[in-house]
Amino acid sequence: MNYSTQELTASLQEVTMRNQRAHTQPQSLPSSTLRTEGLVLSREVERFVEETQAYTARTRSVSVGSY
Amino acid sequence: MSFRAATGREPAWQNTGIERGFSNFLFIDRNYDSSPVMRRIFSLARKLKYQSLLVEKISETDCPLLAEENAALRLRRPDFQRSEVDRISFFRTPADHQPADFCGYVVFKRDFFAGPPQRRSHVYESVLDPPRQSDQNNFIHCHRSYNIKTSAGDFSVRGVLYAQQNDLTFVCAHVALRSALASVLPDADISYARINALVGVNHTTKTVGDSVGLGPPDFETVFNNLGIHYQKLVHEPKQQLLLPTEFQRDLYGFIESGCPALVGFELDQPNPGPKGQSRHVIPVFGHTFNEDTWLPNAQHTYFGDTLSYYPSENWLSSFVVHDDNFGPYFCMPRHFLKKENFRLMYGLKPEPTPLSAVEAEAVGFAVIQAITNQFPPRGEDWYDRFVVYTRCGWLVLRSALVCKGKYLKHLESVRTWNGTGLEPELIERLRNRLPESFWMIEASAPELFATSRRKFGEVLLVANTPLPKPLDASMLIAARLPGLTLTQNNLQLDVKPTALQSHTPLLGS
Repeated sequence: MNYSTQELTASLQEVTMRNQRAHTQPQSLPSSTLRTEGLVLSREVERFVEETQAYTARTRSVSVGSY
Repeated sequence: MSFRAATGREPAWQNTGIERGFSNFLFIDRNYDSSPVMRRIFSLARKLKYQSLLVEKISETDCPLLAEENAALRLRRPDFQRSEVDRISFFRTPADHQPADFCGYVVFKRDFFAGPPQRRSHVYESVLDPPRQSDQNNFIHCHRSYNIKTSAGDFSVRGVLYAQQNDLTFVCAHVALRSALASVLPDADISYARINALVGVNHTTKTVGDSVGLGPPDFETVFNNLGIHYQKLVHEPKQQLLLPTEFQRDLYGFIESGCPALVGFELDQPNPGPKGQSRHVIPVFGHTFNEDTWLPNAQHTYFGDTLSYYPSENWLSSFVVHDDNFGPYFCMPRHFLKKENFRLMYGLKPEPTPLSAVEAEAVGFAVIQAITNQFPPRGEDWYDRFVVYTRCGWLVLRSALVCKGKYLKHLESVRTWNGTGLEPELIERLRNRLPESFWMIEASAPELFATSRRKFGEVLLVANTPLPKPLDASMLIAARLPGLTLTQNNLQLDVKPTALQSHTPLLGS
């Protein structure tokens, strides 16, 4: 088993054991509200989209070849 | 009037069962110029278990479209003399059996000229039932129904229209455009005369054929004039234009959204002409799926792929394509067409979307990561597994552009294994807040996705507005996960619990 598989397996075992404990009941999720800025998104994704969209803009009017 | 609606003359039935000794090869060699495309079409008819065929002659007097095609040929080649057209209908029942079980048709056109070559033939069009269906892991989301009027009665077939170039008045670009546009236009077809009129091909001062084709501006003129939205991908190494992504992931995004695409590529020719390597374009409209493929795990684990999730495209086995040189419904293996040869792709879309499917998927993953940071494991088995798969980089994501009606129907039908559905008030809340179409990014685990065709849930993102800068979660419309729903209302996310705490079917499964 490599690191990636080990990490997944160990994490699944951890939550399973925690949930199996007799005294642990699922915490019911209360209704609530959250500002959208409360969800913090990765900057890496923003950079990826900027890069791909810049290429799309650069090639929008490119006309090469005959089909 | 199309060849489908034209009156057929001189009907001739032929029983084609193998037990009757009928040979596709012999029939095509004797009657259809040993055409390889006809061999392919007849082999598909065999696969569809055809038992008989009906040949009818179509003439200009019965078919204005044929007259239009021949008029174009007279302009292009003044030595054009006449044409012969056969419409062949395929049936799963023996000749003259009632009711007849129709499974498709082909129109074969032979043109005669005074000068050499005196005889040229091609398959003008064909529609067959797809030979494999979703129960055989073949998925075609953009087929259409076609009605055919024959001397044996009226029939219909549901498939993707195939056509072959004549290399005089229409070339590979025309036939690829025709197949793709037939999948989206209200009439489910378009004539070559219409395409040529849009791009200014008049067969005298501007011609096609004999190595002259259509260029990207011609494709775009056709799309713009017909009101078709599209996304363009270009890879031109000689112009230092190197596509930063893998084009097959974008291609898969269109197919999963039910949209066809055109893929253009450069040939490897040992002796290219003065204009360089020739190019070819084909329509792509479906995919196959391999639920037991080794690739996702192996790529993730053995070969250093640093992706933080599995794109569902990893389970794709082949794209389903037509190639006018060979025939309909071929499977093009994933990654067979290398980036070195890929040059151009047009993916058709029902509306303009500032994000591509690949970009939407990346943003969807960022949203999912943010949700798991905000809502950690809380003792619910399936929600907690969802968090673990997200954090460990084992999540499977599938993105598609979907319409509100289809999604709501899906929500009303989803059930966990124990029969629990989503609460009606949560469905109603979404009904009131969803736009007409949006990006849906489904989240699953490898075994759950590939074998059970089920998922943890999905996030819905705005499709028709550009990403906010800096990136934030304002493009999140809603999220539905085990035990948890989020719905946006003026930059506020309403967080509601749901009794639907387990996995549910994928959309369309």
